[in-house]
Amino acid sequence: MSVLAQSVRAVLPECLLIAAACVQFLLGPFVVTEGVAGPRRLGRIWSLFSLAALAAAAACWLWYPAPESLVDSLGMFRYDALLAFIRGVVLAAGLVLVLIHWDEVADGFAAEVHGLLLLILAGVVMAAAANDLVVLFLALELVSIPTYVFLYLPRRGGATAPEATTKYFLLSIFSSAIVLYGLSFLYGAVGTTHLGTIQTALAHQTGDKAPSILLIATACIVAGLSFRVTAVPFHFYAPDVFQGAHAGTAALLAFLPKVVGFVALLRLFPADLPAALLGSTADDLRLWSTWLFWLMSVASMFVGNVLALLQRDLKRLLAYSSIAHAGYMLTGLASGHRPSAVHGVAALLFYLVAYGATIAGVFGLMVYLRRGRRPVETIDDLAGLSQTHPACAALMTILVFSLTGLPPTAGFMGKFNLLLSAWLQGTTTAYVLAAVLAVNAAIAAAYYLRIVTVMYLRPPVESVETSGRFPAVAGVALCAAATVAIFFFPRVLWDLVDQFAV
Amino acid sequence: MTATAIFLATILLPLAAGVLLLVARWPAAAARGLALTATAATLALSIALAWQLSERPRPAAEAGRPVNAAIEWRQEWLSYNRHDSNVLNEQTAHLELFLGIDGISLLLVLLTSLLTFSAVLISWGPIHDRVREYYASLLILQGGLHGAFCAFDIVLFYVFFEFTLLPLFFLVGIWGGPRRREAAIKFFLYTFAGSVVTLIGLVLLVANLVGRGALSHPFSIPEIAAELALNPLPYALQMAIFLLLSVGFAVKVPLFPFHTWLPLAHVEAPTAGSVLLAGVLLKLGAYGFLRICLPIVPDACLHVGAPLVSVLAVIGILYGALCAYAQSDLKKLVAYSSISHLGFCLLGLFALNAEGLTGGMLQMINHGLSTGALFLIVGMVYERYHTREVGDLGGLASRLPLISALMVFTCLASAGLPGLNGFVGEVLALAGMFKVDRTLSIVATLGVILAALYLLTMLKRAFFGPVRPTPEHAGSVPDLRGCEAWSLVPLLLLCLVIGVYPRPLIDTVKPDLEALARLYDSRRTAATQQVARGPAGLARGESPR
Repeated sequence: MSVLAQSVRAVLPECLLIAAACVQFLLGPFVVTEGVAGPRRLGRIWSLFSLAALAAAAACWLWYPAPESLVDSLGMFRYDALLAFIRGVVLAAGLVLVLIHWDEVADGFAAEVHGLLLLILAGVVMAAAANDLVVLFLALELVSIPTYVFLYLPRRGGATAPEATTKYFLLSIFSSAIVLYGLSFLYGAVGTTHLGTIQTALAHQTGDKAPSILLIATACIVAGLSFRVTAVPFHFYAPDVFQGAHAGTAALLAFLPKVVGFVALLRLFPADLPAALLGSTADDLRLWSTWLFWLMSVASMFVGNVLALLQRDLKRLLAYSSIAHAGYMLTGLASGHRPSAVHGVAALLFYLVAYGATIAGVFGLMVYLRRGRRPVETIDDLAGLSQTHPACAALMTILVFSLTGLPPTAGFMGKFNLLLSAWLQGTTTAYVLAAVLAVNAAIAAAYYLRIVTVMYLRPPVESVETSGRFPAVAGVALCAAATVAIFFFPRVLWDLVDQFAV
Repeated sequence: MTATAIFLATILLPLAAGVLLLVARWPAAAARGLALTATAATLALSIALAWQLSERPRPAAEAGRPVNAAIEWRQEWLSYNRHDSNVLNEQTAHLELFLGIDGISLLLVLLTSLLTFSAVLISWGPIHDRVREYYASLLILQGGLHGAFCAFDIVLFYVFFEFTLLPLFFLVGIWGGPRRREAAIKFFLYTFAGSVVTLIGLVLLVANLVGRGALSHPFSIPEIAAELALNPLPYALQMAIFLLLSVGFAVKVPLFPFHTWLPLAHVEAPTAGSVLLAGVLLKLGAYGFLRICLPIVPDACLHVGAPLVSVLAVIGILYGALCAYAQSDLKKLVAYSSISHLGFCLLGLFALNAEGLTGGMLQMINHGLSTGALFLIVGMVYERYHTREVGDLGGLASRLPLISALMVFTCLASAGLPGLNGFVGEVLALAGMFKVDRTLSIVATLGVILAALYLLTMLKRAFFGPVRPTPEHAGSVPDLRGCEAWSLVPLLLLCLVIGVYPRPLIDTVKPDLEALARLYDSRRTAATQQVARGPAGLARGESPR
């Protein structure tokens, strides 16, 4: 097989998704018939089309995997277990997101919205498949650019949507530029864009101190990618953008950029380093990046949780909690790299999946619930939900408890794994990190509990209604079921994520 | 049915019934019926379990195996593969769903079943709002408590320990008194913050065991205890683990400076919530000390835990008793008396000898029975007169003769009158402490006198003396109703039986507590030997062989 054919095979499911998106873009404008078709009929057709594309991609993922020989290939893409895992996670997220957007899009934009969603999903997996700095950057942009349009296109967020879009657009460009700046420094230092070759070059560089150009490159890349994972220092867009966006869009923003950000970090700063390289430039660079992660992690946890305490708007609160969760996940990278039974990277990926299932469910429920003609916005809008819609309140409670980290939910297992992995490192910095994580879990309980309190302990003020659209509930129920299932059967997920930590 | 099936059913039946009630949209009467059936069935199962356990030979008490399950059920939950594997170490660390039962667990499961049964009955009258969810919360709480008492995996224990917060949060917050929201939130956040600290300690412990790699199941309490009895952790590490673990348990008990959440939660909780909170949930803290701290970090318990906890316990005994004396609200009075009584329980446990441990254990059961009964009666009075102020009541004995008679009996049991249950536990606990520290023991005895003082004063003012006119319901209130009698009388009968013949209880927990006491005897000898050899050995945590 030629290198090209091999490369295409490595990302075949994504090619399918992009092809489907192209079909939607091309056909979309021709089938819009204003006022003739029943309300939201086209939206359902395009949703079904997206589901079919996701199913085709999933079939490809399951039954037609690329050869393992691509692991160390010199091509643009590589195929390994991490890619397969991320692909599965992204396809599952795609399913939930399509269900959430099922009836939410006006016919005029339905094709575009669903096409953009497929493009974003493809971009996330592409980042996991990237074996080259250029491809990695392109994949990051394949996530960003459709997101700008996605944020703006539905025009449902009211007056705040344009502001949110602009803010996201400008900051995203800014952070991308910083990443690109860092990548160019990296290229300048080692003279290649191929990720595998970069690692080899770093490993064979003489002298145990990394040159400052590499330190600058690392700092730029990490800082720029913090935009994606909504970690400090590029976190401040999150509350405004989440608040301004439609809840379904916020579900996407809370999860997929985190996936792409962490995957890019894992690809650029691989956690596993052969013992022979300890003390080399690569090792020094790794120490430096770990130190950066440590700072980001601690800052994100405190900033996210303390500011979330002050929020009344549900989406702003979840945005700050999303920052805090980015901090929790970063502990997996920041606690250290000593091999142990519970590897930080495995704990991170475990938590990422648990968080994804949870947060998509919470936002999905916000799509489903409405207050009169407007969507649910503040915490007080949920007052008395347990009496008016007990099932919705129960689902929300499960999901919020998972965010809090209470048993029996995935959030508890995820936090436990992160804590255990930090303690197993046995260093003072890791101990501090574990203690900070635990303290933050206690702080966070205060604002999560407020949501549950409002739903259960307050009388309903004015009736909350539902959109009555079944697919969104199905998506939320899937998420809640996954949240509980991960608690009871963590082995299934753990065995998957554990293999990347060897 | 095999013993294991009965054992699992005691945990799963209430949980399943609770979830069924949440899901199925049944009318209130059906929900009540199901809750009563489920709790009665669980009580029957627990008694069957006790009978099964009494038939089995119990393992001989050994210092090397301080925790033993008589019946156990284990299921793989999560396994961590070691990546730093070398040949000497175990390859995999298994986290398990490990449920087991020994004498200690059995008694607490019996207590929980009985009190939940009472709680369901006592809620028959007062609860009319969201009945289905109410009983679902009660049943799920019961399942969680059974799980916590039977968890032999340290992580599973923590899971149940945390999980019990949730149903109680809803019980207090939805069906409680006027300040219920404040009380529920304070209760939840306070205990959650405490248990997060416990989680840090727990993870510190297991991280060390996983890192040590000697165990294939580094989360199983019996195996941890056996391993650490043989090769103790370094002293400083034991100290850190003990202090971290204790925070959550001390909040739950509650030990003296961590008790501030308790009075509010008790006052605002519905009667059934108070009964379970005082009767069982507080035991969870003491049980945590007994099940986890004592066998796993013995040196820290012996050298730091014992002096620290017993001093705090004595302060709690006196402080709780004085506060109780100062209360005019009946429920607050009982709440503060709980703080005082649980002080005796911890005092006994941290005497760290066979008498003390037995006394502490009995005190857990006795306090559950007598305080449960006190809360039931206070609830009955409140339901009739809508006040709990001692000043507004008065002369109840002439209006509610039966209830008043039972109240007198309960107060005497709670105050530790010889012949009733409170006496047995307190005497054993104080005797155990007397061997270790005479001053503390004697000071603590003042608490017994104070208990009689505040309980009898309350009796005199609220139940005897001149009859006060009550604005509403005067003259038309019924005395003890049928379901109230069924919920209250079994507890009081048990108070009497235990007071007269505590032997079966003591025999049930004897093997388990004996093993623990042996462990401490061996640690004490080791400590004296090491003092003779100089303090360096102790600091390194050498094992005394």
